[in-house]
Amino acid sequence: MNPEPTVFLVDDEASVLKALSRLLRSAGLNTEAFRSPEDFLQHYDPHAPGCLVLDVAMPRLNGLDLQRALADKGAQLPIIFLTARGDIPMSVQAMKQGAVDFLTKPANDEDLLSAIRAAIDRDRASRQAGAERSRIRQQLAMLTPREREVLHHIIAGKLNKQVAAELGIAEKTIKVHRARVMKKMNVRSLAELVRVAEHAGIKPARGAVQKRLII
Amino acid sequence: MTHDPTAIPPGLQFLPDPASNNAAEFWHCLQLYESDASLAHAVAHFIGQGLKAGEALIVIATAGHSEAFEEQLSEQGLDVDQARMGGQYVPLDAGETLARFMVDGWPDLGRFNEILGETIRRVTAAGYPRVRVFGEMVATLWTAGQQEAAIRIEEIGTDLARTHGFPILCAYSIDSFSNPAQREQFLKVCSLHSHVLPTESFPALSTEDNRLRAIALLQQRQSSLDAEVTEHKRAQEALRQSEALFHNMADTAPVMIWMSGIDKLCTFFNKVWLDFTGRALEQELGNGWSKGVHPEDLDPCLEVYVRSFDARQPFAMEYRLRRKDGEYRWLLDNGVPRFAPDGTFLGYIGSCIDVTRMKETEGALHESQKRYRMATEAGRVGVWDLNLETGEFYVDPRLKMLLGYREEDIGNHLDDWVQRLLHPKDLGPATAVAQAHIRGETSFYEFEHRVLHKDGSIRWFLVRGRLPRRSDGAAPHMLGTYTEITERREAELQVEQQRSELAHLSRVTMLGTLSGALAHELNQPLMAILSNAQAAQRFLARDSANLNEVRDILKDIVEDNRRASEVIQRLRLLLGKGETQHQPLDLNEVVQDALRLVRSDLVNNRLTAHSELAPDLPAVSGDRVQLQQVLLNLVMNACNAMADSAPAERSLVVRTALLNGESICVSIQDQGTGIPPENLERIFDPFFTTRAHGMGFGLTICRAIAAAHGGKLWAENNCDGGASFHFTLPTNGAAPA
Repeated sequence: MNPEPTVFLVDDEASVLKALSRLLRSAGLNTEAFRSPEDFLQHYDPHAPGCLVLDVAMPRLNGLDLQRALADKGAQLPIIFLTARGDIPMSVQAMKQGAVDFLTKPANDEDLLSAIRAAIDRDRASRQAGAERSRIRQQLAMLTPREREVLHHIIAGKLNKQVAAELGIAEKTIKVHRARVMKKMNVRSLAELVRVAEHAGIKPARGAVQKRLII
Repeated sequence: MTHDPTAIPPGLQFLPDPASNNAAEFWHCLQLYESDASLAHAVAHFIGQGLKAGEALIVIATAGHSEAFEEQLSEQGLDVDQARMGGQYVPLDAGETLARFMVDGWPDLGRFNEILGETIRRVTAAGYPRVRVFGEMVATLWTAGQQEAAIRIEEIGTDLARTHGFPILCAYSIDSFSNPAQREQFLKVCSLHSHVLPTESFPALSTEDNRLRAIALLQQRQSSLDAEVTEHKRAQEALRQSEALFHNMADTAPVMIWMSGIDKLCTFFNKVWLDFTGRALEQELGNGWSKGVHPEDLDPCLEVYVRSFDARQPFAMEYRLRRKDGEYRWLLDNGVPRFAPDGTFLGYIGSCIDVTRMKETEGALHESQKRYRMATEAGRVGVWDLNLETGEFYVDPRLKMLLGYREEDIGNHLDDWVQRLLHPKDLGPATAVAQAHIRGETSFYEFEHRVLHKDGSIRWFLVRGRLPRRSDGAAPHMLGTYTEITERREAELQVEQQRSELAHLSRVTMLGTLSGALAHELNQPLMAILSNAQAAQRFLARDSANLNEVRDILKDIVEDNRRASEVIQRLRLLLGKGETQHQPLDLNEVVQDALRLVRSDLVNNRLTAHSELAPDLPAVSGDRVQLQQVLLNLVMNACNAMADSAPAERSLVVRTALLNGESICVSIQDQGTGIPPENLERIFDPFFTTRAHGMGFGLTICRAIAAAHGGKLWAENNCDGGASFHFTLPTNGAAPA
């Protein structure tokens, strides 16, 4: 299991940083505070779960810059922006860049904490999804090319007979492949296989389905 | 003694009848007499012979003598009135006739000939073949002391008689020659006549013995007279020498000197006088000098002279006298009577000095006094005197009137003024200014006071004063003036108010653009406060609250609250509409305050600001809010100028520097695009703006604020790109802020 999530705080003002740390601590959250985006980037660990509470206006790199820098690294850390000036264009930009929330200082504890919790949940979910994806990818990697081909057809909802006809092989052989795919992918039903495949981003084979639909 | 006037005095000789002589023969007879009766007989005989011979008679005599002559003629049975009516007998008054031809105490030949010649021509034209003349004018002059003039008349009379061929009889009282000093003149008079008839007493001596004795007596008298004459001559020489010495002195004296004789006529003017008037001595003598006196001054001048002269009193008078260049100069003329050692009045001597310059100065002084009086009468200007030891405070009583009080309403002690009249707000600053002067830090005290009028209104006074130090170093009194400047001040205040309102408007506009940054400044501490407070609530809600932590939190809350309050205060100051308040300020502090306000705006615009502040700057006198406004405005302009610059170049520098010890210069240097040279001045024009949302009067206000502080604001482009704004302010003394 992953370690406890941490709320990373970045603000150039020490007093704000200190107060936020206290508040989050009082809510039972782990926090880590940084005085500048540069400082944060230096200590950034992509595997550490949690979220980022980020001030917008800072000298040199500002909050939006850090958001971009993290995106460039492929980091998925959810970001909650805190701004002392209600600046609409800036918040729009931040949300477009994928911010979880955009709060105006002074933000109430409930608003801030619920935003943080949501962010942490999102982070957790995204980390779990990521983990499943990588597991599915590992399972997919164990499939033979023929098994992968069969998988594509099965998740498209085709019958064994149809697959056999399309691939030009015996229906019986298809059944064997199908059983191996189900086993390797660790699923017991077709529905489960479809979900896993979809999760892994595997596209169903086309053509035949369309025919079916036409019929 | 009275005797019968008609009786012929014994011994009186009658002159030979000129009619018996050849008509052309010169006949000029001198009759000496002792008594008027003898004169009357002799002259009546002369006239009577002429009338009987059918000749015309011109009788120039004194009024009294004329009467006596006519009486005698009547005695002789002659009809005088008929003779007068027929033009045969022509009586003329001696004094009047004299006056007609005397000019400046001297007989005028032309007039003499004209007057007597005309008379003679008239009687000749009336048909009388011959004229005989009796004259007493010479005797009149002689007794008046004008012997020279008398002799001159005798001379011209002789010439006239020779020309026209008529006989003249002159009569002199023997008393006229009683002065031995006049012997030579007597002989001269005698020599001018063809006949001299002795007085009546001489032939009256009856016997030869008596006559001889009389002659001997006369001879003796003659020799003693000669001795006297010699002595007189010596004295005259001494006098002449002393006069020469006097004239010499008088001529070299630096003053103008004149002298006059007992007849009031001037007899002397020194060289200085003559050089002044540019006229010859002869022209000035007698009354000639009066021609140079300014016509307006002549009558009063003569009046003083004559009055003082007759009273033998010294006088001093001023009159204008024409200088040789034609300019009239004011003279101060001091005249004093002259007396001989024996007390005889000799006339006057006077000295004059040119007092024109003095008069002018006096005039200017008078003018300035008049002006001062007018000013003080209007009450706008007055003097005051404060005794620093006792607090006694003297002011022109008009000041109290000006404030609606009577003299007795307000005491003459400083406390009376401070407690009742001085505006409470001015007391502190005025005292500080006064103490600075007393300590010798300023050369004078100057303060614009507000003083309360009885009606409750405020009057403004410019009060200036000094602390004159005595030689012993003590300075117990402070003296000065006050000037009422209420109207000026009100006008100034109105201008100031308008400027202040405009500045306020500009400030609000500016702060509007800054609002985001200002919100940041305020919201940061508010965020900290809120989070801290809510953290504390959560900690306390737990069973095991860490009170130490809560204590720390509360401390931080207080600190953050202080920060927030400071921001609000700065904002309130800038947003406020309070009256302009000048106070000593440290410009570095103002710069730092302004930078603090715009800090987050700079951050937001990714700008960095450096300040290079000169240490130990002297104070400037100014309005904190308005100066901060200028700095904010300039800093924000710099930010805008660099909006399009590469982030690395977005830096601005604020510098303070002391210039010549007299003024402080604040410079704001940016690295923006610079200002087109043609706009370097125009940017200060109202409604000139290069920004889409600019109002175009920020810099106009800034320049007005700078000017109101006695400073300047201008812009220039930097050599290495960007522009700089320079803002100077005079320092208000040597004391560091």
